[in-house]
Amino acid sequence: MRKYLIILLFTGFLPGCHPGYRPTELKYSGYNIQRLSADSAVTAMLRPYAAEVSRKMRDTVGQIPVPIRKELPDGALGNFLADSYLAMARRKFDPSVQMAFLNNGGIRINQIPAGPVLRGTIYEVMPFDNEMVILSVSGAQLQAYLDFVAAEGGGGVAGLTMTISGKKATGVRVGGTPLDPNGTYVMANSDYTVFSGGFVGLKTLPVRRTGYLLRDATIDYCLDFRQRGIPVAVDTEKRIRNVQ
Amino acid sequence: MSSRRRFLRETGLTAAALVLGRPEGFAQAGESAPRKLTILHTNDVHSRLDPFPSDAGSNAGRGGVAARAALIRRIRSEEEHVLLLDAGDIFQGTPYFNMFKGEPEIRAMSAMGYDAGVMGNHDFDAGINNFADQMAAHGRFPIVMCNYDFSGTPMQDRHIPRLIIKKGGIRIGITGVGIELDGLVPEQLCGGTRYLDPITHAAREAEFLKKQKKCDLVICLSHLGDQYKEDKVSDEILAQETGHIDLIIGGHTHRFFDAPRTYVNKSGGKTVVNQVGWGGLRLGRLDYVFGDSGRQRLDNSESIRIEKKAGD
Repeated sequence: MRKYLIILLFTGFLPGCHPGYRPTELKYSGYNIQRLSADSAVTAMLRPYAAEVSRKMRDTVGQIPVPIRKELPDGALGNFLADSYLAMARRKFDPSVQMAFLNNGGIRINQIPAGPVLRGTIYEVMPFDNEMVILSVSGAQLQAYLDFVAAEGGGGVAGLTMTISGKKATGVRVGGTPLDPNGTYVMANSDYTVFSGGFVGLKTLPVRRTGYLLRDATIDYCLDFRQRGIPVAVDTEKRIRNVQ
Repeated sequence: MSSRRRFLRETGLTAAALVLGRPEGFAQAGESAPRKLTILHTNDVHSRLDPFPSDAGSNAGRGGVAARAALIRRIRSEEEHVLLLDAGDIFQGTPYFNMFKGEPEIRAMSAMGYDAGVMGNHDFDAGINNFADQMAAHGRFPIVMCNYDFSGTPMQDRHIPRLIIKKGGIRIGITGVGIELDGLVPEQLCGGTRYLDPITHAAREAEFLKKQKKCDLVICLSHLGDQYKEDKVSDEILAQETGHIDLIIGGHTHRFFDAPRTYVNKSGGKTVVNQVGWGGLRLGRLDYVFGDSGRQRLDNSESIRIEKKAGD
């Protein structure tokens, strides 16, 4: 039997034996996956994991007053996340932090509806274990970074406003004051953006690593409002505009 | 190392089972009866094990592995020869991944009977060691990649550059390509993986599979992305700059294709590209019919007819 199997295997994979076919017709289709039926074996496999996720992720961390969306050049969801980083960076590490950022690709769900927001939702909007980093930059370095943000189409920002014109950041105002190329600015950002993302201009600057996950910053920010018994502050104003 | 041996043994047994279970592949050799193959595919599922939650807008209640598994089971009961493929980014996006590092994702794919997958950039998110460990412990399908040099990493023995699967007498060659890691994946997560040019490597593998290994259909699983405005390698370029890939199963750009895209490849034949969005919202399906090409195979010179399947 064993020998037979080996011979069969061998001939089966001998190219010379293969008569050769070619695809003559291709019909394409596809399915929207709907919860019409569920495979019982897969459901059973998943059950203990699902129970654990549910136990740890279903607590309400805050109330979101209005629906917030991910948008370009920016949206209320990006504002909310960047605001949470700026507030927590100031509170926990350095009161002089002036601005905070989140790259658009780092926002992983498109919307948070109004109402109670769950811990699990904050995990879904920021699933990455990205760490908050704080760094000082010159006005010229900041301009170069904002030009990159502009070329990417925008992103989440807090502490500044700007207009995208021809893939460049123009009319930048930090805390209401025009950007000074000779000034010094302190930003909170993601370790991903600073060390690994597509922009190289921040990679070699001295950086303060906080060990604090951006996701935890957002959760702590929400919990603070919750403890005070008020909804999370949400800003729906545009901070980045595209030139008309 | 013992896990590698187990993997080799298992794939060997699978191959033996395929050959033993499909003797018609030899018995009917030379006949002109149409041969069919159904390819099912996903990409960028991003740890969406549960259906999307009720607050997910228009996606609410859609997706989920249990529903996908039930659908795949149904299709397998209707079609004799089914191939199930994934184009990467299995990991990251729900708390399942934060808590269990991909274990239930890989277990679910193994349970559904995936035939092959490729690594996406987010499959590195808990480190290359984690991906290799999860595949070693729970993966019952190979990771097929030809443009990542995994030398010295734990993926060195846990990937293969190409794979040949025989279904109903049809020989299917599969290779896979991943995206440039620099500027996308933190270095410490890559563990020294070196990105190599996907065009030259996929072209070489595809030619080998088609010419040397006499594959009737060559598939490239790709996590390059379908197309870009800027000058960056994509499935669109891969399709046109290689000569022997029949089908690219794509991912990364989360694009929901209304229909597969078709490009003229370097051999003058057609290369088809398909992608089904993200989050396990859709399952792609491609039904191939094969004709007898005889001994004098005219490589890619005869055209394939592509149309929408009636009733879907």
